[in-house]
Amino acid sequence: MASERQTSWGGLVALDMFLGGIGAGAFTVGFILALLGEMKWLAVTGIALGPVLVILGLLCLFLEVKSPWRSYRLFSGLSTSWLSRGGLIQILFIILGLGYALPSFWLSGWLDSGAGIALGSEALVLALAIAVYHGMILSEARAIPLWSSSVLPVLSFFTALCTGLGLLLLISPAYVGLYGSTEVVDAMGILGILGIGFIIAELITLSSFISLRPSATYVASIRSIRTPLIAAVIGFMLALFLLSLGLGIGEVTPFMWTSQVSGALLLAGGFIIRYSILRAGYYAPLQILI
Amino acid sequence: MVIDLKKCIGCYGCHIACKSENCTPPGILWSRVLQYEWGKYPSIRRISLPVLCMHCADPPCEKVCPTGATARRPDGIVTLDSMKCIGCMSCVIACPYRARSLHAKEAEYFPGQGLTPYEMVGYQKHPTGVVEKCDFCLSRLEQGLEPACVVGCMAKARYFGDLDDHYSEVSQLIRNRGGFQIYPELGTDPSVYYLPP
Repeated sequence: MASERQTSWGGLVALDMFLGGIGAGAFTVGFILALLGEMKWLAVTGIALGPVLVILGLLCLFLEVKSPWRSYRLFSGLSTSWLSRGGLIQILFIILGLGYALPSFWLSGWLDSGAGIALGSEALVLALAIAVYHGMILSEARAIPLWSSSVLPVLSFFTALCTGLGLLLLISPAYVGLYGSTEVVDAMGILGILGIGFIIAELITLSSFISLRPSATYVASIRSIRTPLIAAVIGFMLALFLLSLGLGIGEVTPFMWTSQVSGALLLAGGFIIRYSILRAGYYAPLQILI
Repeated sequence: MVIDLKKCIGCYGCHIACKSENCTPPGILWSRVLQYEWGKYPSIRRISLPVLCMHCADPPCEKVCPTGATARRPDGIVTLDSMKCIGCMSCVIACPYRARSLHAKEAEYFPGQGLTPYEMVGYQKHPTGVVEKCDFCLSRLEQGLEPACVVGCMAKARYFGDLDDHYSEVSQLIRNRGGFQIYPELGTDPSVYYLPP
């Protein structure tokens, strides 16, 4: 009996995971920059965009759900359901994340104040939980071998970090007019170093995800998305090369160019990975084992 | 429930009996019959494999349901409260037996002809935007009757009874004829057993 592909979750769920992942990643990177105490403008951008993108992701999920007017019941299954847990985590993150981000627009020094760091740390924990949750929600489907892989939550985590960082890389050159090229290049230097670490971790996780061989259905599922996965891997490797090149050259114009291209590649690769994994959700065929 | 694969002739009678009893909308099947190749070459047989909600003792659909719409009753029947379901499809994905389907929008069996009087009455039990599944014909059980698929099986291949009763017909059939479950390795402990073909 042939494997059947799941058709229940499609583009909107992939978009929810993609946007939520970018939001969680952008917030994490923004918080790291805030802790370093430099490039406040970029830190605020990441911290403020995080909750906004999570809201957009939730909106996609809201559109995907067939009876959204009953969504107030979403938290009834907290003890067992990752969808319930994820909903709660995201709502708490939005509240705490905005609570951390908004005062920074009129209170200078808020981000690295004691209260700010305390609030931001709590939001950071939730952001990291969101990055993992998108993998956990898929790993609940035990009958879909590809999704029940234990590597998937880790892959989801690093994909979120890469895409969040990709967004900041993409938009940071836009600040050159406001803050001057020297400061922007410094910021992109820090992002570049973080990016190299995240991309290497992503590639290692992705390669272990692809190389697992627990069942024939798993192998067939990976084979069905071979082309997009190869494209994503090439994109990530190219981003890694360009970031290294930009850091090596260190001059304003080529660095801005390599950062923007790397950011776009990371975002595109992240979406391809999330969408492909959703599309490759094949059920193990029913078997009579007697 | 026990399904004797040796007796099943693949007539789809259970499928039709279920549709007739529950008035399930077009495209929604609470009880299906799959054609299955069984054995190893050169001794391969083609058998009919009726599948329905397995009413698992440890149902994955109940665990993933964020709203508590899916619940397992003390008697082991897994029910779905359509008033609580938000149509998130988590349970559809989590069910290894593909026993659940979404009733996305109302459709008629005779396109362009409008709903028949039977459909008008029957569809009141089938709100749109929610997930549906077999409930072992709960309304019949409450009247002391067996599920429609059991009564409608012309080959008498289906048996319904209490698995907890060691002396019930179903327990004895499982014990004496080597009854087995589908996907036992997933740990769901289905309440539907099959007898070997």
